[in-house]
Parts: sequence; C-alpha cells; structure tokens
Amino acid sequence: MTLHNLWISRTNITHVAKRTGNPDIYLSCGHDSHLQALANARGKQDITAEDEIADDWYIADAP
Amino acid sequence: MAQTFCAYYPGVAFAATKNMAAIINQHATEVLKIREVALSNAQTAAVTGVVCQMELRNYTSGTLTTPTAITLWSFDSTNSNPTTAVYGHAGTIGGTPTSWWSWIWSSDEAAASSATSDELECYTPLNIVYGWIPHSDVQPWTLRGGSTEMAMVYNVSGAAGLLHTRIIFTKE
Repeated sequence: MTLHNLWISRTNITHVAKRTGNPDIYLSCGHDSHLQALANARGKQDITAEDEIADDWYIADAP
Repeated sequence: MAQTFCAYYPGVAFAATKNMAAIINQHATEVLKIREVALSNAQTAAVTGVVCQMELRNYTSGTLTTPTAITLWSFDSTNSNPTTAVYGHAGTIGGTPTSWWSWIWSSDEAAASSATSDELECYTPLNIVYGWIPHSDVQPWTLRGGSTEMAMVYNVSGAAGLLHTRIIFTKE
C-alpha cells in the first residue's frame, strides 16, 4: 500500500514501514505522519522519489 | 552510610527482547538495593531511529548466559564490591520476570538547537526511569541473593540507536 494509507492503518508506533521493492530502506512508524517519517529518514538513507510514491509499503517489526 | 556503587552500561545497541542492563545478586546474605536507574541517548551517528518499548523487570531465579560484562565503579574507593554479583548487558536471559514499569524511548540521534524526544532524553532528571523515594517508610527496589534476584532494563521491541544506562545501588 502507499505510505499515506499505511499511516492511516498503522497501530503500533514501535513498528517500521518497509518496501518490498527496496528492502534496504525503512521508516519509523513513530512519527505522526508519513511526511515526518520521510523527512527524518532522508539524508540518512538513500530514499528516492520513487520510494515516496510507491504502493508496496508494508508494516514490519523494527530491524 | 551504606557502601554505594554505580553500574554503568555505555553505548549498548538496541535490539528486540534484549537485556540492556542487568544486575544479579547471587549472595546468600548480602542485599543490594537499587537507588536509581537512569538512561541517556547515546546515539551520535545519524540513524533512522524507531520507538522502543522498554521495561523495568525484576527476575527471581535470574540467570544471564554469556552477557557482556561491565566493570563496577564505587562511590568510595575504600568500598568492597558485592561478594557474588553479575553485571552485564545482552546475553541469554533466564528466570521468572515481573515487569513493573514500562515506557517508550526514541532511538533517533539528538540534534543541536532542538527539543524533541531525542534531545529531552539526554537531560537529567527527565531520563531517570526509577528513583527511590528517600523516605524511611519507602523501600528501595531490593535484590536478595537467596532468590537470585535480577534487576533489568529490558527492551521489548525496537532497534537502531545506542543507549547509556546507569544503575546506582547500595550494598547492605
């Protein structure tokens, strides 16, 4: 699913969001919005525009 | 005045279901009394931090297999260390746990000129997760060796980032 929809459906802030299409990156679900999560992760991980609009994000346990 | 010690666990990496800092009392008659448990955000490199769920746990019949040991520091150089105690982080945990306090913690690194949770975690007394109430009617968290009791700062879930832990206790 998209990051927008994932953030609506998340239930546990200790989880992370990951992409099947880019397993090297993750976002913390501990942010109020996916935009804040992306802002925190940019500059620390190689997150691209493609990642931001992808629809293959899913919830996972923290790495 | 009771002999007082500090167990300091510096820069321990977060991982799920991990012992972040523990003390086991294995002596039949010496009693160790926890006076304070404090944490601090130790992450200095940029990291995508997560929200960690943490607990204070008391174990009976507590064991730790192959922990990473730390060296005890004494408040008075004339003190003698507890006779039979173990201090360490990580390792395989054994025993019967009771979780008696829980909190969440950000493992993201702190930043300059900012005041989010990552920065506030660095400031005493905001980062004291247990402090004995200094009144004669209030007991401190007590570890009795007859039951091989173990005190532990336990990370339930969450990773990335590093943590400093300090446990101050007396030997009586």
